[in-house]
Amino acid sequence: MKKFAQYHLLQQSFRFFLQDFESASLMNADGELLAMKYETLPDLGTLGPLTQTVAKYFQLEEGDAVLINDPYSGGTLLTVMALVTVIKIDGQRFYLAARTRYQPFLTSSLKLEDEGLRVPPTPIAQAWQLNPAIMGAIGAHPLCPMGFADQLEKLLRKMQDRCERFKIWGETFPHLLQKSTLRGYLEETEERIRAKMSELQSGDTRIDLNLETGELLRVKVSLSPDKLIVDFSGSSHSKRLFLTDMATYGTCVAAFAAFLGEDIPVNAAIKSLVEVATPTGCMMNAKYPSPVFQGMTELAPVIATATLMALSEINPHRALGIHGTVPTLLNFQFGKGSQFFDSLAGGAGATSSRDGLDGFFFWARVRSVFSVEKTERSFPILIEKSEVRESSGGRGKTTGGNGILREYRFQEDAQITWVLGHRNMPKGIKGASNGMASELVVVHANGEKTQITENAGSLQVKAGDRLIAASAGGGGLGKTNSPTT
Amino acid sequence: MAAYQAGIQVGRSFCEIGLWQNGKLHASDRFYLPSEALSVGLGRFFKNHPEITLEKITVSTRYLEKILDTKLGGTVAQVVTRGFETWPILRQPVLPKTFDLNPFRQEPLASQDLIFGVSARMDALGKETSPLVQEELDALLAKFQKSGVKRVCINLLHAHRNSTHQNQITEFFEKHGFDVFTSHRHEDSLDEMPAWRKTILNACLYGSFVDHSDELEAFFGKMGVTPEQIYFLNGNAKPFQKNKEQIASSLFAWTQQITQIPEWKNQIILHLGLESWSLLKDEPQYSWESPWGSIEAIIPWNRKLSLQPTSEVGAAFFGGTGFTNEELGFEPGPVSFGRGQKPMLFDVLELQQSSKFSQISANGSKRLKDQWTAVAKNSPELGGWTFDDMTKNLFESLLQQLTSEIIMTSPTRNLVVTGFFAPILFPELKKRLPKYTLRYDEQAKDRLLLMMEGT
Repeated sequence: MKKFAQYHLLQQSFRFFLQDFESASLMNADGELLAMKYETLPDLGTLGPLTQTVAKYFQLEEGDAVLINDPYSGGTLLTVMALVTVIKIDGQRFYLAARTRYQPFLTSSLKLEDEGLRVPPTPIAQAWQLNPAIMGAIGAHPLCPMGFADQLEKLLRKMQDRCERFKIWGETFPHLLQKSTLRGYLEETEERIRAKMSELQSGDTRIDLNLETGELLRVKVSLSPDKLIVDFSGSSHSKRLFLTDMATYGTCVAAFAAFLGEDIPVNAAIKSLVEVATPTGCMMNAKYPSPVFQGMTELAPVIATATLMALSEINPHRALGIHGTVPTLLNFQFGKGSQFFDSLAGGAGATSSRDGLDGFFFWARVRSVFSVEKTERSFPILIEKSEVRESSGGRGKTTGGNGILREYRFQEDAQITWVLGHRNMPKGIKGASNGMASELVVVHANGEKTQITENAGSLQVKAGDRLIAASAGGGGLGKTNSPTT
Repeated sequence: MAAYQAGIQVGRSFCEIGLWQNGKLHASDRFYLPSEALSVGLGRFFKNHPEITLEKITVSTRYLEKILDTKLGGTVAQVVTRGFETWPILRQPVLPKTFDLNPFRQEPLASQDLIFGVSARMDALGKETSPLVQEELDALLAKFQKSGVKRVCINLLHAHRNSTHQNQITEFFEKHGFDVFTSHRHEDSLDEMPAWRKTILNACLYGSFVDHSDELEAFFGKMGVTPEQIYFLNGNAKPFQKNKEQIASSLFAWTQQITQIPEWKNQIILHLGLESWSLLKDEPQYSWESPWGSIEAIIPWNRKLSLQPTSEVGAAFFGGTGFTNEELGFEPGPVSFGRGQKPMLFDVLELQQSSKFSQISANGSKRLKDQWTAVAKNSPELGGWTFDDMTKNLFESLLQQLTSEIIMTSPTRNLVVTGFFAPILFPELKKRLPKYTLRYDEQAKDRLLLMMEGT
């Protein structure tokens, strides 16, 4: 079998192996990432270190699993739990890490522990059985996510099934798992990505963005045929936004992969091609116990967009407008302890070849969908509107995507908590107009209105009140031929 | 004259017909639709059987899938709950599934310009929170008449909890001569969009379904068969006749039939058909993950394989050639049939086993050879490869990828291999999957046709 055919088969097989997980990765005993399926920006930079941490500190046997969600050990949000297990084939060890997402909730805290239950690497299963004592202890914690045990059990069963399949697959294609073949696979991936990089313009550029939370984001990008260097030196220390260096790295890799414009295999090869500098103390290199929710949800998309913008400055034929995709996040807490979380996507920025998409999470591929009927069945809310926020995308040669307009009528008193993405208008570039800023208004039952302007906060509402939430439009790109409005 | 039953499976590009009496298959045939129209192929078949009288015709059709490739919903209007007129487009799936600079939403089935809101509203308990306003319906009627709308979908939130508004609107538009489409959902159904999409799909397919049905009625009418003797199969493999709500479901009749064959019960079916390849299981699923998003439908568990007969052969990321994620259509058809422009997996199999194919064209084979020789010249990895080398290598790649996908995704290790390509691929797969129990059923085609007798 020719080498190229072997590598093609490896790529396809790894895809089959991981496709049913939300996000997952496969790594060898040398700590080299062989394959990954990702859903969010931080996934790309965190699944590797998370597995390496487990491999370093635990001598796993088959059927063992370690639970982890600590953002400072490779986790992302505290409501995203990961399991890591090992597969042994012909004396080699492979590590499978997979994540499951629980319903998130918003807090306006400056401490990580207030955002949920932090789980450092914890052995949770042996012989594919979850440890009832540890599960019970975690389940009893007041901030343990709802449905914790059921979801984790499902994930473990899926991992068990996949591990058994992987072993059969390894016996069927023993040559593919030989160290030399895997090494060749990673080297060839690197070679192929380099070839794609050599087709791009090399150059350096700097993007400065003043964030709505007051920080300066400075991104210096240097692109050559061999390397992408993203340097955040000069960025502010954080006031509210904190992101781990691993998540920052993943965010930059994701932007680069999107820029290359092809479904490239995500494995260790890309690591040697992308270098990210996050100076100590800057908001992209947060340290425990800084909270990470806003960083993961708000800062990561901004960094990815800024990295893309810098790359498109160096390669103008792949230009991109500014996204309105920092979502508006809402949390409604009702009296009986029920809690509703919602996330409104903004419009995507226009690109040189296409209008931006309306109401789209440009930097997430999470599969869960918002259902009006399900929401109304589960919570005391009537959704009176969920539609495209017309004309909110910036006009230009190509137009920014529109945001979403959603109206909620409360049928019971509630505490609302929010993070308002894009209070300022996402800028149009190269002569295009800006997208509209996001908005949040409470219309009280007596007709009075409360306009919400802070980036984050909470407010008590009464039954009969309405909340009007509008996410931002994306920025346009290029001068339009017709007059703008 | 003896009375027979006929079963017809109309595929996207192939049609199979069987004739039986008292549980015994009397005759069967297959023809390629792009080169022989349905009525022409049927005419040729029945000309060879002048002695028979038909008492019942059962049709399982995938013909309508072709319609889905083109956007034909131009005259389908939707009446939705006010405030949700653009909700369907926001719920359309986005591709690609990885981060990309230019993501796009799948085009919806029906025009977004013909979605209109009404203020009538039910809440989650089925309680009316806003009544139906007659003036709104009158205004919509005027709009529809002006725009040439013929079919109207009624998609209201919580209509399955209280269908009063839905029934009133249906009655109103039916009274004015429109074909009205609604969904009848289970009370516990929790997501509006799969149900709305099903309504739209029924409406979009309706015109073509009626044409298709008329064509068959006209053909069999000449043989003395009345429309009452012609049945279509729905997604439960149960017969129906021109029922508007069963049309979308009929797309899955063939899948359901396969999983219902008694000899294959409780086994995974590796279906390697002429038109599609999938793993199937007799286990009901309640939605279809269509290109337009999830659609409410009861269908058997099925997993479409990454390789399909129409998978394009093209440049691979790691060099050389391979099968891309792109699926080509059966029209104009495989290059080797002298029709297609780009080589596909079908061509590889056809070249590998040319004795099994009757459609091969000399021109097509030559064109394919020329194309692949050009590819080999431009690809350093294929230096010195002959046409035969390429064919063999692609065939081997196909087998390895298929083997790998079966290992990684088949729910069990006990498989029945069926479909047109099964005779070619079964022996090879059996060799490659020693830990699996693979069985090839030589009677598969007959069993499928005979399944129609009991319906």
